[in-house]
Amino acid sequence: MASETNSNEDLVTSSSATAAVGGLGADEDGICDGKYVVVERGDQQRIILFKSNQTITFGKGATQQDILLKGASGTGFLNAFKASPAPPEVIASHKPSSNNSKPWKKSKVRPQNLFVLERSTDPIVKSINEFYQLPDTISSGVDNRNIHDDNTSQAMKKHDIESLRGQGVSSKEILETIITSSKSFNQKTEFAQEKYLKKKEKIYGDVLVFRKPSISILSDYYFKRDPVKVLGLRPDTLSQLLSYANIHAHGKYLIFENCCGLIVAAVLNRLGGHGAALHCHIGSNPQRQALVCMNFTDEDLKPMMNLDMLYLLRGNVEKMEVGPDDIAAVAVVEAESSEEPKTKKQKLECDAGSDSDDEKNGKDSYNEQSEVEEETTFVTSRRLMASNNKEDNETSVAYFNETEFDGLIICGKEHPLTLLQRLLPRLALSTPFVIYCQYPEPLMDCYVWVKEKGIGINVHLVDNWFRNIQVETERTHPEINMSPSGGYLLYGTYIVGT
Amino acid sequence: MSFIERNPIIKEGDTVILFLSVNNHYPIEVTKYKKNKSGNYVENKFQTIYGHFDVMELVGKKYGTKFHLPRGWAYVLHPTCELWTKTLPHRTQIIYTPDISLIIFGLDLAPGSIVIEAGTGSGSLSHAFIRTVYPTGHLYTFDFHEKRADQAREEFQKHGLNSWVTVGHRDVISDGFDVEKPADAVFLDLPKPWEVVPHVQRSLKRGGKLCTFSPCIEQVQKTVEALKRSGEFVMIKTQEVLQRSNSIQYRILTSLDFSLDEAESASGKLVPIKKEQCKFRTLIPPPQSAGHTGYITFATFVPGVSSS
Repeated sequence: MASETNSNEDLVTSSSATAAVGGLGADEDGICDGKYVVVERGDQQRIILFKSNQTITFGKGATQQDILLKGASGTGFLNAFKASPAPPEVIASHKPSSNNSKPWKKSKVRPQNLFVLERSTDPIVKSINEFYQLPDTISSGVDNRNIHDDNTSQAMKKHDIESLRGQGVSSKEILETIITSSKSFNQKTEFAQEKYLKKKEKIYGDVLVFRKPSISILSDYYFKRDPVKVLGLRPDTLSQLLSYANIHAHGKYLIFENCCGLIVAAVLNRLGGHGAALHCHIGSNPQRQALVCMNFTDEDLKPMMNLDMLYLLRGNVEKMEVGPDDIAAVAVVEAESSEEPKTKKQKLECDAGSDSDDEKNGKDSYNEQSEVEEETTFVTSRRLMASNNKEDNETSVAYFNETEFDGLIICGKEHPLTLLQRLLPRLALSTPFVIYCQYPEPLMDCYVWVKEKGIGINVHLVDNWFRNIQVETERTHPEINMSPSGGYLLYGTYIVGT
Repeated sequence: MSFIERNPIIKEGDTVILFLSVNNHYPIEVTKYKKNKSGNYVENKFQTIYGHFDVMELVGKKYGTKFHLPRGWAYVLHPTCELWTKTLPHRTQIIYTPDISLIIFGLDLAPGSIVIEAGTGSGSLSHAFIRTVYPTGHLYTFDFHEKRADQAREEFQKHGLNSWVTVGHRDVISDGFDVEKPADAVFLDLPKPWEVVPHVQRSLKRGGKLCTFSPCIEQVQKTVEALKRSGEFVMIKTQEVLQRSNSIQYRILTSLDFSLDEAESASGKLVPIKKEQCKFRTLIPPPQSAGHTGYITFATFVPGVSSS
């Protein structure tokens, strides 16, 4: 499969064929070079651009694992893989490509950190649960009355663990050694032991699962890792945004978005290749970090059109249904945003998924290495490569002017009012508009304007309360932490004004 | 006419939402005659607080425009799943838009998905399922109440959705789903979802998702235990979502002026600062809102080891 990723065009045209050749099920598309995949180890999750000759790093320091991805290449999703210390011949042949990475980042690739992946022969549930199987010698206590926090329980020291690693002992075995050499572990209750293991899984976990990226995974991932990037848009809020905007196949939607391309991706996903999604943005580089992670085919991307909002200013002003004041306001927005340094935008463009986070934490060698080549070598589709040039914009402007849209979504960093004033008149009558904002005040401004003009009905300003529940036998309760805000939505139906 | 395929003009046979106010809107079927309580067909007149009208008068009107009533007016709106959920005739307790949205989102549904639903209930969620899987997917929905299944089937027909849904009268706990195609998603809203888990295992494709909606935590507990016992479900998570609909209002809070000394203050009393300066716009939460609807549990089905 990997041999087919020589050029972008091959990648696009052969993606469906490769699935069959690779021996995967008819519906199942698999892991191959140039595709974004979700990698999970316990609670930890990464979204990466898969390249079989690279490593993905979990943990740091003495317990860092640089896991070679090769073993997963060409397999289907939702299989369990076991990471085990790399045999000497692999270590010898492995040439870390970290030479390419930025010189100021010293990549410490140590042979004892190198791991290889092997497909587990057990069912996925068994592989995942195996980590929680304690040695038979371990018993458990009733309560914690005899456990004292005096730092004497653990006989193992840091250098002991490091020397075990140097000998190529597996993570699971190291953990078992730690547990058996602890004086107090036997006194912990069963539940406390499990909780301890859950914590240790972050360090010693050795089971990896690959998943296919989906909108729900991406939304969750971005919200947890970098809520600022997605403007605080929580998954439950996004789910409602899609409902209230009445997104369905064959619909034509007008979308103003600079939220990592997450909204456009979600709309494209719900269009299934039928209909239109006109993505309005400021500047010539629309945000697409989340969008590229979906591995959309050309067919999926067919409904997508781009429109630099600047063209709505220079375009046929006489056709506009807004007053001169509104236009001036749009111009101000444009001016402000163009002050952003260009380099930053370009970086955002090629920086996909987790990259920037990992960069910050400096713990993911995989992404450091991949970032450089990403833009040139692995853009998933020709459509996504097409620059947003003048001709495209003029086509989009024409489409914008001649189309009665089936729904409007506004989700951006800018104040939504002037955007709403400019875009709302392009809706067909009796169709929905939805505006997302992290703060309620701008939405109140929109509400007041819509009501004053009498062009919206069934207008609501809502916010959500959203909670995860831990469900375990005898230990069911809401999760200890929750997100206090997922942003605000203003939605309504466009009607003929009075 | 269809909920999904939009036509700007109201035609006979359409379902129209007559919108009087935020808390006052109704679905109207545009037909010459309707069945009355004794089952006879009578002329279709509709009664509102602003007087009654002949429903056929709606034909030819544009969606999204004003419709004049004897003592006032209303807007005629094109139906959407969300408006339908707010106005539909309740035959059972229904699932509302916040939960519906999360269910469809969490199940990763898209055009082409094959979805199984039990029970159908009043069809609130079913409409949204169909909208999402249209035009290449299909919804198989089951209810053990024969009349309810029939009513739902009739409704889908009237709403132009019947090509993408199959309604079955069936007790899925005893009889399973009997859907030949492997499903992308199964949704369960029934009293004992844990008893259906073996049927779900037979119906889902590898990587397919299950979602259950249960109001009680005991139901969730039993369901999750059954899923874990089966050894074939991963990524099990339970969530709940509540929506608050705020109103936007102006408020005035009197500000007392302490800058005046006693002599300046004519009456010798505290004087409020000018009213306009004390006015502000704010969000007012509703006096009462939903405190609980149901727990939504998701799980991904991964049987054994894949063949590849």
